[in-house]
Amino acid sequence: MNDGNFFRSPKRMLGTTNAAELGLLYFATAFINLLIAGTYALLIRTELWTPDPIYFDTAKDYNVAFTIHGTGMIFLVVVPLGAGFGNYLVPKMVAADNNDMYWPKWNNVAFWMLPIASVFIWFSQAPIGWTAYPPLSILMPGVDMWIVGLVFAGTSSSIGAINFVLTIWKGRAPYVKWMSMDLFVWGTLFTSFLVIIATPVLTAALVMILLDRNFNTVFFSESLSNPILYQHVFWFYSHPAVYIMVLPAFGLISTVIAKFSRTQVFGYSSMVIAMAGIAILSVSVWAHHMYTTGIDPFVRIFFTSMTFVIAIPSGIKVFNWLTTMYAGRIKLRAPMLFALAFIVMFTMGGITGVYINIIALDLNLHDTYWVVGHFHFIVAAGTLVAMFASFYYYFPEITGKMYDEKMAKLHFWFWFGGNFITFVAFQVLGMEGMPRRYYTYPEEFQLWHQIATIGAYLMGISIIFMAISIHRGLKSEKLESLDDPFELGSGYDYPEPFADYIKREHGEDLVIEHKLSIWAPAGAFSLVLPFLGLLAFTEGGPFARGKALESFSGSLGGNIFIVLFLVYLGFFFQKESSAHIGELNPVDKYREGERHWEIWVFLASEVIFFTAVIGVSQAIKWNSLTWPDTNDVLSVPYTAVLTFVLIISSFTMATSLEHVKNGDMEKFKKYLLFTIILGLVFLTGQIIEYAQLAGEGDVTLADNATYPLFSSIFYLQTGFHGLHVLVGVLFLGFVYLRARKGGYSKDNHTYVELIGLYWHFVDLVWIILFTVVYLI
Amino acid sequence: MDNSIHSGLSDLGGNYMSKIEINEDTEHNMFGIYKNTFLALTIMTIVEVAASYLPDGAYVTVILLLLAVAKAALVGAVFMHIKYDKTPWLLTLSVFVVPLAAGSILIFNVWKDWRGVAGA
Amino acid sequence: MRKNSKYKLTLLGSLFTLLMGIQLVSGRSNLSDSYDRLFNIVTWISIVVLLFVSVLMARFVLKYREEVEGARSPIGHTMAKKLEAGWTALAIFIILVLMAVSYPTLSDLDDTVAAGTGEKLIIEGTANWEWVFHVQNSTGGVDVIRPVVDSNNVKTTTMTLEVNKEYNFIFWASGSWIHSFFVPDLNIKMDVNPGTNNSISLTILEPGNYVVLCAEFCGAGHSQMRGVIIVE
Repeated sequence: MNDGNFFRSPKRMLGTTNAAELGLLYFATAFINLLIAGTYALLIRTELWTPDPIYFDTAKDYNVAFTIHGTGMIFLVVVPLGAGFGNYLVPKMVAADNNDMYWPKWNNVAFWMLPIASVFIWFSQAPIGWTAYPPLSILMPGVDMWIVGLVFAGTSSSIGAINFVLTIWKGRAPYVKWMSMDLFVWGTLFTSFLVIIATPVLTAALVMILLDRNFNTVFFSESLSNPILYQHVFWFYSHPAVYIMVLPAFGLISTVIAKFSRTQVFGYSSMVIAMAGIAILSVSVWAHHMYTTGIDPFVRIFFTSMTFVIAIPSGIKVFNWLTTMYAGRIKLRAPMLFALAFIVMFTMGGITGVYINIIALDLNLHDTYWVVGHFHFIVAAGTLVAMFASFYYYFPEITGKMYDEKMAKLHFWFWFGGNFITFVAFQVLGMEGMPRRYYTYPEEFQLWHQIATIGAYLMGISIIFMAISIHRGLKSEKLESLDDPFELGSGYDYPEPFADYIKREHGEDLVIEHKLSIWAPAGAFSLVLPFLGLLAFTEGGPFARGKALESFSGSLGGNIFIVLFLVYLGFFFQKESSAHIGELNPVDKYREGERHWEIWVFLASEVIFFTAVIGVSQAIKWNSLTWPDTNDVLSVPYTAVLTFVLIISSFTMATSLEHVKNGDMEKFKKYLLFTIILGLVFLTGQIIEYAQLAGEGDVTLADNATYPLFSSIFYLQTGFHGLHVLVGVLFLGFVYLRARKGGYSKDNHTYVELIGLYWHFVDLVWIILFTVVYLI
Repeated sequence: MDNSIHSGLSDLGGNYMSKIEINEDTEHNMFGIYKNTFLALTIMTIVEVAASYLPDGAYVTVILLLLAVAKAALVGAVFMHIKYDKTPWLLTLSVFVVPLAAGSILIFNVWKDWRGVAGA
Repeated sequence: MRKNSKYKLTLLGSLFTLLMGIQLVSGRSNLSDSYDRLFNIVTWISIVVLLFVSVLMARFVLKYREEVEGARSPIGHTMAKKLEAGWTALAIFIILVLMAVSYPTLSDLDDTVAAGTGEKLIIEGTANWEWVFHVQNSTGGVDVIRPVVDSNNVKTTTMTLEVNKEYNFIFWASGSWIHSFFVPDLNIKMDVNPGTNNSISLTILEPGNYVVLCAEFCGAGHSQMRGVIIVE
């Protein structure tokens, strides 16, 4: 697969749309990030050797270290590793057409957002903990940059998730049956659904923090609103995030255990059902992170019960893995050792998790090292171990060579031992009452802290062995055959590649071709510009609260970035609108007959985004004592006219699409132009409305505003909608440019349909918003 | 490349190539349907604005919400072509109902577990 | 925390002896009793589950290593179906047991909160990362107790409470940080939220010194805000 020159060609690395190669890039990025985040872990453990300062001079530096360690390990190491394996394996496991993902170009964009996210997060130096609870996160420096990094990471995994769903659902070869797919495909599918459902909610929470920090909104204000609101919204994403990380690991580990036991996966269907159960239940367990906040008793009972229930499928999976080994011929190579460690460690993580779901015990253990030990058992000793197992298992296939077994086993024993020592020490510290995120601690805890530190260094050393193992492997001779590199009696057995199938059945040669696209990574990088602009404004500009980028003159720096972005956008439109039609189409011709799931899946994630935004706003409204009569503070007739404008635009859009279907290109272009103009009218109308409201005094975000809460949710909801209209107008403009160059025809107008659906959806959202914001 | 896959797949049977386009009869009338939908949306918007000037009360809120849902449903069904889809219920369920339900769990708990003064 | 620690841990480090060695001493407060028993029950269940998984795994690895010759008799189809159902039933059973043992304590806390009885005691978490205790004194006034700062900038606030007397702890965040009032030896933790005040009613049944820590990350001074409750 990899011809060895890939990592020597920057152009190929940048522009590749080949899922297998992107998988390698994911691995490389995750490994670099693992080194960085791991270094932070060792610094933290060094600092805690004694209660006195050792490495970090101030508590703030220490707080930055654990924030960056946590954020990095979750969003820049474990989640990308799952995406990396997904890229490398899923197209093969479902025998996807062209042996690639459904959207090769978007796949490239999704990957390149990850290094961008990494840079933002590494440099943010936010001292808030990865959970970023307000009011702390509203008042601390560096958080804007951290949020931008997380939004990039979230967008990356969202695009990746939509791509996985489409690849598995639509790209799957017709002869790959659902219940014969590798369990990893199932794991990736469920993970992707979770990402699509949960990530938009995280984005909403983070943006609200950003607005609270910089624009004087009061969503989480302790005097006007409810800081605990954030905790609900945040954990709604971040608890499923655990399952987002672990579900692919479940799939990977099932394969490794079965292979090295030379048996079949036991209880395939119950494994799939268990994963489905975990995915469904995982969106209703989040508040078990909040038992000590003085949570409502009914809510608490609901969540403790749901959390108990979600332990059932995990238990079933452990028993099935054990049974898979029954009557096998177990070969204890490094991947199998890691897989066995996974079972034990995951069980440890599971049972320690039970304690903190029992409310009486959680009152003691919550926010102590018990919790730290628990989630390290699940993530570091569980998920990451599964990734190591699979990395070694697929190493021969990826490189054509065999890793060094001796070093890999050393890696295993040091990692396993280090895990065990450190995390058990964490549990003990937790039982004794050591709270987490402590820069210094009472001396009674020192012994167990030192034991934990020793374990951590063992883990650090193990990574050196891993590097040596990989290095020696890459230096070694090529294997003669990749059919069965571990001599297990069976190889990687993917289904027959689609091209081979077509060749055999129909005698046609399908050419496997992975195009290079420099514009895809350029698109990803160009998105940095508006965010840098935003950061320049927020950190140094008129709304400044943070100090990280104070050297920027906010308005100047921000304006430069925005202008650069607009210039880029112009170039991009010019270039892409004259591109050959075959290169532009997001979907291959052969998939056209099917329903356009690509846009529908995206719209599903938009639905939950707006549900969260509108719902949270409504919750704020219901709980407010004073609320203005909208007729007094807003101009309803004026907005009614804007609503009317948007309804006309939906009509013209639908008409336009109908014309292109009938082949009437002139009318198609005419109605498309109408739609754009109407979109612009709406946007202008909204800007005028904002300007008037800001001047009037009732619906403002000024410090002495009459209705700060009402204003906050007003601007949040209409602002997000306006942003969607703006994006819609940009895409419509792009479609129009292409249309003028003859880019669409009676038979080829997929893109018009997609943008049309998006536009109608934005209209639909406005219909709801108009009622809940202006009328009720 | 595209063409070869195209022909390869069309041989595989209806799975990939099944058309979900609207059938010939309705195609001629689509412009008319759009126009009627547009009129219905306009009328409902006017009613909405008028209703919002009625004195506040639960019944006004209910009417407004029903109108909003009706309008949204019209846009979804006609403009977004869900009505003409092969399996409209599957589409509605997976794209609208499931995310709405998931979001509603969140909102219900946020509302139920509300803390704070929430004045002003 | 205390010299006669309630956790008597061996240094051997093996998990089994570790968990076996934990003995919670009951009777510190009116809430501790059932919690200690619960902890021990859950620990025993956990030990059984962990042993079951590890022993089964070790046994399979030893018995079915490729080096071990001899025929293997795989699980037949019917048996596999039964076993699959059996595993599911076992997982459900374990969870049901855990629910059964934990649910009786579910509303303990609510009862004490709802009661709101006892002498008022305001626990203030400040913006400067310090505990300030507002304790009613014998003359009917309120003593405001502020922390003592040591050379390491550790801020310790000390108050004296009476044994066997019910107090109504009211948690108030006077700054913008969320704190969490945590007394490990009393099995108590309650967040101190800006904007709203949580409260619990508590009777301490045993004299002694109880260390107070902050358990919710609150910024730079998080690890240095401490307190001591002297119960006599």
